[in-house]
Amino acid sequence: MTLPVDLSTTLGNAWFPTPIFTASGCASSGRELAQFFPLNTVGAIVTKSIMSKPRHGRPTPRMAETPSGMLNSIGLQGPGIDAFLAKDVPWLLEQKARVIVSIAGETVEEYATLARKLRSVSGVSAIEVNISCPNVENRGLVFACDPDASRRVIDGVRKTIGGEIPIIAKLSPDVTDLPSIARGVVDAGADALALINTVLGMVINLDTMRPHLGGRTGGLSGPAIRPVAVRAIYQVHAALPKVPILGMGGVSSGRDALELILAGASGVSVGTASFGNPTALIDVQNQLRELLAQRGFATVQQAIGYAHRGEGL
Amino acid sequence: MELIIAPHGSGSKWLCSQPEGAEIDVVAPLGTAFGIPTEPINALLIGGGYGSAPLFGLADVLKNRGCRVDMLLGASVGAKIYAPMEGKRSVNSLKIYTEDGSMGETGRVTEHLLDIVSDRKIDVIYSCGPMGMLSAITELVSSTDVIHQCAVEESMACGIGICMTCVLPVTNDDGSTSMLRSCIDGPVMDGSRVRWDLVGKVPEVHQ
Repeated sequence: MTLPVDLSTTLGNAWFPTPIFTASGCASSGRELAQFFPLNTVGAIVTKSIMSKPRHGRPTPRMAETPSGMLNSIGLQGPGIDAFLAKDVPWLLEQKARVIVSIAGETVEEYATLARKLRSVSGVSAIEVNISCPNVENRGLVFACDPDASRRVIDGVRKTIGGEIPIIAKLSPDVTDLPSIARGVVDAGADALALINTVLGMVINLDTMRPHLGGRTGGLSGPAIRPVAVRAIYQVHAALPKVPILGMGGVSSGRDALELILAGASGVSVGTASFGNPTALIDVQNQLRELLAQRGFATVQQAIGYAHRGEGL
Repeated sequence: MELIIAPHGSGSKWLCSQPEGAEIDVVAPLGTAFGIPTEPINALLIGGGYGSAPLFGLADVLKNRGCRVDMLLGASVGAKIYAPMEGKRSVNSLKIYTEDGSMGETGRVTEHLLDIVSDRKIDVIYSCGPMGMLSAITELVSSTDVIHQCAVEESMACGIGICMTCVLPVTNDDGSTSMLRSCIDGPVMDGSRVRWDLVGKVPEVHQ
């Protein structure tokens, strides 16, 4: 028998009953997964990053299998913010799901415009500002690889959105000094950090002897990147212990989620695991509850960053 | 449940290595099915390679509805046609084509397609096979009234509509093009709606 564990968690001023969330880009806008479990039974639905205008994304092939993971090259296909706010967000709120809207832009101004449109929508728990999507035409547009550009995007969103709704800045692990990028976006007004986006990769097809993906490069996800995520979360939590982290990267079991929490994550997104197992979030959540109880944790809060104990944090 | 799997990658090879009666966690059915007519029609079923697999069950259903069912199967070599003899049971006529002539006639299933369509007064073509074959059939019948329902093939990560990897450019009612997921908006699609020329490309930006 296991004792009841309080799974509730917070990111900034947003409260969630459990720390297990979908990962943006791995749950579309929620409807598809609702066939497999009620969306209000998980912490939150993080929607696929939305841009100002409808977007076709990148050409196929958009996917390549890799050892313990996969590469994707979707390129932010989506209906655009207006259709998204008119159709998808109201539907999610009707399901009593907690919603984190992920936004992506090509310019600092586009992020601010998206934030302005979101400001008028009530019921959204938080905004994830995706400044690290690897599948953009120009690598120069990956704001999260540039400390100054990262700060300007978050600053623009913060000024537009006002002080209420938490801003979660989603960062890339493909940088030399992640804690300094993290510190920059927190100084600019981010309330929380999402770590990590996919890792930039490439597969070459031996039949065509060219890059396999239509977009040539893609984002690596799945268990292959979990140690990178654990490292990133651990490093950033050590540098900024008061800043909540939404952790993600290769989580497919309760054991993996606990690992990220111990490293310093307040919440954990399950992404690629849902592709092979549509009820992965529920499985991860149940296993996590069990593992916390077995280790004598009465709350998730006690386990956050527990791997750092005795390190003077 | 009977599963027909081509052992290409590690997952499909693992599935093929499972013994009969093995318990496997399955999410099914997914996506769209072949549309079954309410009245008896003349149907032509076309399969390329292992694309013949879903057509035998379809042939039975159509025959039970009183349809006339003809079938064309094709592949590069005879060994690549899945269960060529299975077809004979459930159809009015079966014709096999191979590119090397190792089975049936030498050539492709599209060889005499328009003649067959007019001779047999075909109303609907149901097809499954490589994208090049589906595209060629669509082009051939574009000048006719024949409805072409094709089961498309795209690599998929999830199969349930969440990953957006398996998209195909499809024409909307207003003439614009959307990238639709072949896992949930397909695999069976109206061939005339698929923008075959844009597969593997990105459509012009719409506002």
